[in-house]
Amino acid sequence: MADEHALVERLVQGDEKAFEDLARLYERPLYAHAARLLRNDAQAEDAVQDAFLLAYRGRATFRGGSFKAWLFRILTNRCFDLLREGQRRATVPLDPLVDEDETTAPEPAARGPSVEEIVVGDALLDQVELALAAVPAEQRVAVLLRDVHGFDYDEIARITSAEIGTVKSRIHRGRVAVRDYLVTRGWRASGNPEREGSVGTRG
Amino acid sequence: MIQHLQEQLSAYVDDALAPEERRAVETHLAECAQCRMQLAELRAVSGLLASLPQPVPRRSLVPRRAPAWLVPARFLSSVAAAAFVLVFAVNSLAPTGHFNAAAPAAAPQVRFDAVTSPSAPPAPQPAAAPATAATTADAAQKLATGATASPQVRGPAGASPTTALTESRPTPLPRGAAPEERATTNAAPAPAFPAWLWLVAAAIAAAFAFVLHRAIRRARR
Repeated sequence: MADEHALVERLVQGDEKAFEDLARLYERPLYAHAARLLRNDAQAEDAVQDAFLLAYRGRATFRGGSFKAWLFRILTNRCFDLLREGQRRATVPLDPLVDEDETTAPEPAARGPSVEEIVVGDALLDQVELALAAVPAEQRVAVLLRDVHGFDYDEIARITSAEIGTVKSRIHRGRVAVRDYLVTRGWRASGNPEREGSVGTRG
Repeated sequence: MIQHLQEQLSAYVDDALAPEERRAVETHLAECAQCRMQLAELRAVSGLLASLPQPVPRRSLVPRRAPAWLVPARFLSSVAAAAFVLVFAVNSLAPTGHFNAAAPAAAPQVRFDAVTSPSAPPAPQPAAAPATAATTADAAQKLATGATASPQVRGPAGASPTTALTESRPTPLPRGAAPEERATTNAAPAPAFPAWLWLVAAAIAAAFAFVLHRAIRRARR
């Protein structure tokens, strides 16, 4: 990213204001990521601020590559720390951290909209949100980093400190989990593989 | 039974396959409707996720650095506060006639001439500036006369300034004073500037330093 490159140059040369500019550049994606991971606005805000602080203090350790990915790595680690803390304190696990073996399809609290009501648009995206919330954290992270934030597999591997094979598996299982959730509520992707972006109600 | 594609499908969607893997996937897809269906669904899910509205923070999360002047300002305020306290301490510890903040080094200058001249007019309290000025004129004269007459009295002057103090305390101050001490004595704090004002100044400087400290901490949080 041209902007990032220039700013990182300045940061490396000791311009501290460049850090502020970089932070402003990525503030929103970072927050969006934390919010979806933690599912708690206030905690997400804290996590992002913590990440910025950690990044600023450790800015000398940035070794090049994508600064955005570097920030995301710090934030993801921070979010997982918070999730683990929350799990330790909660008597009932709020969110399964690892769910590698089972298919994820917990009973929804309320029945979703009926088949006729699922249309492309807000209702469907709401369902996608709900689907995402039901995905185990590690898979959710991988899918979000890929589909929402556009990182490639190598970057995701670095952000999550995982092997590429693990990343591939998590992305796939996360997407499948979302798909299963939607399908049980009547969603059907368009059957025509050529119309890739289309989503229909009934196949 | 053909092995259906699993993760390779997602990787295919993401174009994350090596060329030969990609060819193998495409070959399979050409022959497997089920996997084609799966592929379409995965692509659709990926697209849906990409189009999710992103949550937005309610406030700015960017770390703000403290303005550069805050830290030196806090340092200067702290130093000023300490200096004011020191001035106050010096002022209140010293009997204001013999010492004052401006010339603590003048202490050893006290002389005994005053003790030996009973005819010296009783000096007023050091607080009374005009009277002090009047007696210094006398003192100048006496100093001149005393210098020639009784050198032995001046002997111990440097040795024990504290004894000089106690002895000459009831006697007029400025008689034996060296010229520079006379000058500084004239400059002794008058009631117009009481010592406790230094404490007030110290408190104000300390409060200012504290406020700056809080601001720095808030900015660095």
